[in-house]
Amino acid sequence: MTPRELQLLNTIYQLGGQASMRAVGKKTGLSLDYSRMLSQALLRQHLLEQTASRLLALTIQGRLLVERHNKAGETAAIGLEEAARLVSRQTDSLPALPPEQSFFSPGFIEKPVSFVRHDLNKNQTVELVDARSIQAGIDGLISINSKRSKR
Amino acid sequence: MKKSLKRKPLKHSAPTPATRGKHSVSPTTTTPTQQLGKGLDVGTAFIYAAQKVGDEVAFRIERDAFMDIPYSDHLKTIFERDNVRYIEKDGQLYAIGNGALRFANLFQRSVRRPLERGVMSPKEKEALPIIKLIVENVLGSHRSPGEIVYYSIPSQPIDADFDVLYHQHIINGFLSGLGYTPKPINEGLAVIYAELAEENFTGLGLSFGGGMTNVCLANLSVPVVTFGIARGGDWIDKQVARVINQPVSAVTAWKESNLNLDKKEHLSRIEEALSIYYDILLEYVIGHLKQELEASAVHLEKPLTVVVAGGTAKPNGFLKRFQETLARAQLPFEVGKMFPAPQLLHSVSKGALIAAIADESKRKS
Repeated sequence: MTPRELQLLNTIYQLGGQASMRAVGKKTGLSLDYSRMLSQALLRQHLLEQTASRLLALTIQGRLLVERHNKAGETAAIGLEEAARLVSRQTDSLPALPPEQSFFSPGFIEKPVSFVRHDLNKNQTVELVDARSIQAGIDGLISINSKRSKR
Repeated sequence: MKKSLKRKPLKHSAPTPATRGKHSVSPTTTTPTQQLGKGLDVGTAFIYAAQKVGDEVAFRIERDAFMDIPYSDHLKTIFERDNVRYIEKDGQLYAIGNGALRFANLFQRSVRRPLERGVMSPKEKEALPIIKLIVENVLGSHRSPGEIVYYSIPSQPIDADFDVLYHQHIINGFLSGLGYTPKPINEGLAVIYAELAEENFTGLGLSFGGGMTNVCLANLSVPVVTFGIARGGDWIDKQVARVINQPVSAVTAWKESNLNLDKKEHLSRIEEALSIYYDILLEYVIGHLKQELEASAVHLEKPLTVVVAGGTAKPNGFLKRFQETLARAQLPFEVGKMFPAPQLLHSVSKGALIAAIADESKRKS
C-alpha cells in the first residue's frame, strides 16, 4: 500500500464510498492515467470494486482500512506513510467483519425524483383494431375457465 | 374481418395533474357495448395499453425511452413545434418516447432506457417516475373503481442472475395507486391468449422483445413451461453498435425502419452485422428452448403449434430464419403450425386484455 493508493481510497471515502474515475482525479489532483493505474492496483488488492455503472466503490476491506487510517491519524497525528504502514499491519490481523449497517453511499438514501410538469397526454399514438380479433380469445378463455371451476 | 391499423389523434382521458378529476364523463360510467378490463404490456422497448372501446380495441403506445437536455426556451419551442412530448424538471427537459430517439440521433447520443432486460433499470434513477408517468398516460383512468388490469411480466431469466419480483411489485403498486385491480400475466402466456384461441390455448408462444425473449408452453391455457432469456433486440443493437462503432440509438432506428433479413447479397456493414447477430440470438434462444423442453419431460398428443410475437421478430425474413434454426435444432416434439402474430407488437397487450375481460366477466357472474 503506497501513500498515493491510500490517498485515493480516502478520496473515494470522502466522496461517499463510490465515485467516478474523473471525480477522483479531480479531487486528488492526480492525472487520469495515474488515478487509473492506482485504482487498478487497488482493484487487484480487493480494496476497491467496480460497479455496473463503472464507478469505483470501496469494498468492506477498503472502507475499514480508510477508517482505521483516519482513526490512527487523529489519535497519533502521524504522517501518511506511517499511517499506511500501521493500517497495513492492522489489516493483516483483522477480526471478522461486522455487519454492514453504517455505511451508505449518497445514492442509496436519495429520494426518488418526481415529475410534475409534462405534456405526455398530447399527441399520443393510438391504434385501433376491430374488436372481433379478440372476441374468440375472450369467449374461449371464459369457457375454459368455467369448465375448470366446475371441476 | 380485421380492420387495417389506423392512427387517430388522441381523444383520451389520461390523468395529468391539471386534468385529473375533471373528466366530463364520470369514470365509472360504461356504455352498454363497453367491456371492462384493460391489458398493459410493460416492455423494454415500448409500453402498450389495450382496452375495448365499442367495437374496437384501442392500443395506446409509448416508446420506453427518454433523453435529458438542459432546459432552454428555444428547445421547448422546438419540442412543441415537432410534437416531441417532454417532461420539465429542475432545469432539464426530458424528451420522451419517439422524440427522444429522434433527438438522440440528432445529438449523436444514445437514449436512456427506464427498463433494461425486461425490468426496471437499476442504473437509471429517473426510471421509476418516468415509467409511472408513461403507464399513467397510456392506461388512462379506470372506468370503474377496481377495474381489472392485467400487466405483463417477464419470466425468470435462465441465463442471467436477476429476478423480476421488484419490477412486478413496483408496477403493481403504480396500478393499485391509480385505482385498478392489477394482476400479473406472463408475457409468453399473453401471446398464447392473444393468438392461440383456435388451438384451445395450447402451444408454444415466443415473445421476442427488446430486453428479453420470453417463452411459454401452455396446455389448455395453463402454462406448463415458462422461461425467459435475457437477450432480445437491445442486445442485438448493442453488439452491432459496438462492432460498427455507431451509437446504439442509430442502430435501433435503422433496424426498425430498414432491416430485411431476406436480403442476402450486397449487404452494408450494418446489415451484415445485424444479420449475424440475429442468427446468434436465434441459435441461443432455440438452444435454450431445446434444453428446457427436453428437461420438462412434457408429453404432447399432437404436433406443437408455435406462435412468434414481439418487435424483434418484425423484420422481413425473421420467421424463415426462425423456422430454419428450429428445424436444425430438432426439438423433442413434432412442430406443427408455425406463424407470426398478425400484429407482432400488439400481441402481449392483446393477450393481457383478453385475460382482463375474461376475468371481469367472471367477477360479474
